[in-house]
Amino acid sequence: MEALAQVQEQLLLIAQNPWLWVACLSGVTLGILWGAMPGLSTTMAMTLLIGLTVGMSQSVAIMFMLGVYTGSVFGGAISAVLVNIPGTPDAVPTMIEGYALARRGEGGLALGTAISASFLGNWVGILLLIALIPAVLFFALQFRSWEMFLLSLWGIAICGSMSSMHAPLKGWISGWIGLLVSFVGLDAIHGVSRFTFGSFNLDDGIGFIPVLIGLFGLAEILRVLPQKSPPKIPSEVGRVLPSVKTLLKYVKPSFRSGMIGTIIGAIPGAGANVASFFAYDIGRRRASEEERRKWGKGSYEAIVCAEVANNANVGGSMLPTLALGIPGNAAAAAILAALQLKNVVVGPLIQVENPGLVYFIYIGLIIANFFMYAMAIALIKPCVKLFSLPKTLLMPLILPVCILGAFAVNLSFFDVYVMLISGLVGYLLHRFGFPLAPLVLAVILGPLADENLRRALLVFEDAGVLGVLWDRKLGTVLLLIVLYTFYDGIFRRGDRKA
Amino acid sequence: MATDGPSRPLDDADEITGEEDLDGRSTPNKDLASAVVLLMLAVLAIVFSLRLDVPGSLSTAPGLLPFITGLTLLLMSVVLAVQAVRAGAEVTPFAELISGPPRAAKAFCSVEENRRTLSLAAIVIAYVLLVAFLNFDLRFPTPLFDLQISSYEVISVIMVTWILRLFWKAPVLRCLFITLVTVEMLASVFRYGFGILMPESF
Repeated sequence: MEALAQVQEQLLLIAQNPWLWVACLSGVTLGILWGAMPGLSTTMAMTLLIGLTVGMSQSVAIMFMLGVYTGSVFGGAISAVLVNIPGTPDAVPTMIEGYALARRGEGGLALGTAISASFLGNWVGILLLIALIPAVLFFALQFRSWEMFLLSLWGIAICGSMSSMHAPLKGWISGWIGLLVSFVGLDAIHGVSRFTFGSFNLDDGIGFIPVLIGLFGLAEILRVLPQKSPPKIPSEVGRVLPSVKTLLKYVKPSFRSGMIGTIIGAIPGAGANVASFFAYDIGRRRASEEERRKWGKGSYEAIVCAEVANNANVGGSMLPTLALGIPGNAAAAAILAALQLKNVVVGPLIQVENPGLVYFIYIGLIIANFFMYAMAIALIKPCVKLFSLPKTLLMPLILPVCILGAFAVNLSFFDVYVMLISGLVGYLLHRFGFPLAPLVLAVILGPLADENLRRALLVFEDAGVLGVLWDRKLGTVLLLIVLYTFYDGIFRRGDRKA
Repeated sequence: MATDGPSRPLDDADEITGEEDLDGRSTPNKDLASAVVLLMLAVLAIVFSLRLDVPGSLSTAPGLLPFITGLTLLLMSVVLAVQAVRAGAEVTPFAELISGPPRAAKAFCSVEENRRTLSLAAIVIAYVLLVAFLNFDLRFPTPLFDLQISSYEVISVIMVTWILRLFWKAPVLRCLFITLVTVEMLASVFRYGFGILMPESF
């Protein structure tokens, strides 16, 4: 009853304050536009836009940041579908499918499907968050060092298999190169410099944002611009929103991907990138034979899986952020920072110290979701028109964005060099038939895998192998899944070719 | 009224240039060359990870996962090489290894698209280096605020106009106008909207 009273109180507060609505709408719009800019991530949007909240009241600031979070996660899909450059890393699966559809003149419908899936994903995330708080928290807390290491490894392995379906070995090699890149810098446990060769700049490691911008932004420019007849996106938008009948076809994959997104979001450290790739892979495995053949060549169901998962991740990532004070991912860490800026201390005592705030955030997420849907629909047609301009005009104009985007993360020109080298390497890797997505994912997950493996080994030092397998049952299940992923990639490759 | 779902069915002739479109880009010879480079990278990773300090126990050694990664990368590159040879890659005798790279470079440059790629890459590298080493900041006071123009904006306008002229082939003034508007809009959003400094090496 007390909870119901708090919900009513928060609803009244929101209904009476128009600034909250304005802040949310502004946040969503800025988030979508930011996410749509090639290579500019959700985390970066959140981090940079925190500055704008300084002069806002606590509730307005929270509403604004929730809007930015929701908008930017979807925004990544726009440039992914229309220019083949993902706005955010989690939009890579959407890019694989959406760009293929856009080239066939179905960019509008591909984006419409992504919007509907994002809307649905947000709902799944929010509702599951509200309904399953205790269960999800319990499951998320089972993930300790050993499980986190295996989860990271699984993410890279799956991404490798998915990005290079006929030659998973090349996908894994790409992921392994990414792992080596991620090890550069001071190690997290002992502070030993690894692969820095005395360079002060390398001590901080190589950030994933400049690598992402280089691999998917600059490499794409180098690949597309010199072509005699670069690929074109038809300017006709056509039907944008999928019919209800079509959407009903995707209820099952949506629910499954929503669950995956929420649960992964609730696991500290595993972000929307992992969620969208997992849902994408599991979606392919569970799809009908006919649909599976379209996977990688323009599948609407694949877009639904990826977008539902990365948007459901928003709700999921708020769970450990609010309940434990441990951010579910980097973007949620920015929310945490925004809350701290407003003197809100989150954690187990949040309901005691800030009664009703959790419900305010839930309602905020729901409002942001509606605004995201409306703004995204309003922005589709102008976006398709903009990105259907000749590539020879569009691509050079993206170049200054790449430089500014790489620089803006840490205000370091070293990151611009990283972006430049990543772009050149990405171009070569593509020429030699290596997928780029596993490399980016490995750069993101590498530090997580490294730190957690060593922590786990330290914990297991006195335990036997059998003891570990028996004691850490969730880890054993994950280990079997990882092994199956490699087995599937090596031995079942021939079946896929057929 | 457009119909729902694909407007035309997928067929084999559809050229998909997405991330998945990699099969056509790989040949056994390319795979073999990649395997050799990766093998060297893996050996370097193993050597450097073994040379790292071990402050605590072996299980927390900073070089542990880099070593495992290097070792598994080595295995994978060997498998890639074997697959390439089985698929018909030419195993070049040792004496020809020296003449191999120059021949490959010559073959690469004989294709017009590749030459265009090389010139674009050179312009991009020059663009980045100019932004890094040519730093200035011009300020023009206006009644409302100080209008700032940084070296990044000036260099961006010049270099992007050049690239547009080369690849879009529109008149110079048109290229210049479009670039100027885009760069200034971008710079204004970052500088005045988000309070971010323009790129330069400090």
